Amino acid sequence: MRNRDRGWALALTVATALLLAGLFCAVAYRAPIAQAEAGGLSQKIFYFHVPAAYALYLCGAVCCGFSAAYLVRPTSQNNAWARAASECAVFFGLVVLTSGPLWAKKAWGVYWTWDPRLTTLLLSVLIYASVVILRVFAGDGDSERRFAAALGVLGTVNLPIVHLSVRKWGGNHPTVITRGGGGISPEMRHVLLLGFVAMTALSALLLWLRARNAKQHDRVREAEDELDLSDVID
Amino acid sequence: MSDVSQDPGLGPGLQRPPVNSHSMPATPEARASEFVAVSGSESENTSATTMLVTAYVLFWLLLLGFIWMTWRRQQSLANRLQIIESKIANLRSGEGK
Repeated sequence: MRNRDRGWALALTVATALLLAGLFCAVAYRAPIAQAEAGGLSQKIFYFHVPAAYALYLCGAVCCGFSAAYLVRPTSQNNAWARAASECAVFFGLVVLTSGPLWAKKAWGVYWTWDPRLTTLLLSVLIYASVVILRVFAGDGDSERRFAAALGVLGTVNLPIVHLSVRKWGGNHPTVITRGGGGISPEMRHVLLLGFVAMTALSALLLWLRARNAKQHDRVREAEDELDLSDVID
Repeated sequence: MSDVSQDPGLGPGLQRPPVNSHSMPATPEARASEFVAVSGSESENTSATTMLVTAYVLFWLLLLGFIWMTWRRQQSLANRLQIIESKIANLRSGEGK
């Protein structure tokens, strides 16, 4: 790794760690407790549940962009970023899908309901998970990469449906911070903003780590192929 | 139920509930004779603190798991690079002879 890259990586890691620590302190000591109908104390899950969903959208957008770029121009760089973004999308999707039901149990009385947003989000996460599984088990040839890229674009096409499902089809999900919602108190807004900043930093760091890892994997594989070839020629 | 009394102040058809309806039934006949399914829970009594702490612990476990998987993949790449380097060194020493 070049010195400049190392400096950026270190700065991003330290910034992410500080932001996450700050977020959890703010949630514990600054964020007020919401009304009982919203889940009371468990409503504090909101401060990383919603930012994690936003980070999922962010990774989905990166996955869509680089997957489409790979379909047009199949380079190792585009493939590495598309792969990294699908893995990070699964990670943030799992965070949303594990934290949401725990809050829902307190606020709605059930862990899971086939609410339009929950169902469409589950579908998106399953699509990204299928991209990851495909890349792991179906080989790393050009046709597999193209298929995974097409699936990555499909997963992201579903994300606007996840976002708009509450407005279009209703359901149990609160519409507090979307258009027409009642909003949140200023103290809650500050903590939520910190959550968005922290999750942006975390998604940038994880994306960079996984993409770097995928690019190195490609270079090692190429070197191994060349060496085997030279062994055969020798 | 046998201990339910008529209350003139409640109007026709309305009955005053037993004084202590949640206490143990006084007679064997007053016991529940069936269980009826209801949708959802009648009253949510799970601890909010437990839910909050579980959610945060799960978040950290998922994050640490993801970082650990990345680190393991990086270690595997480092091992493969070492093999490549030793192969190249062998090839170079072979060319030198």
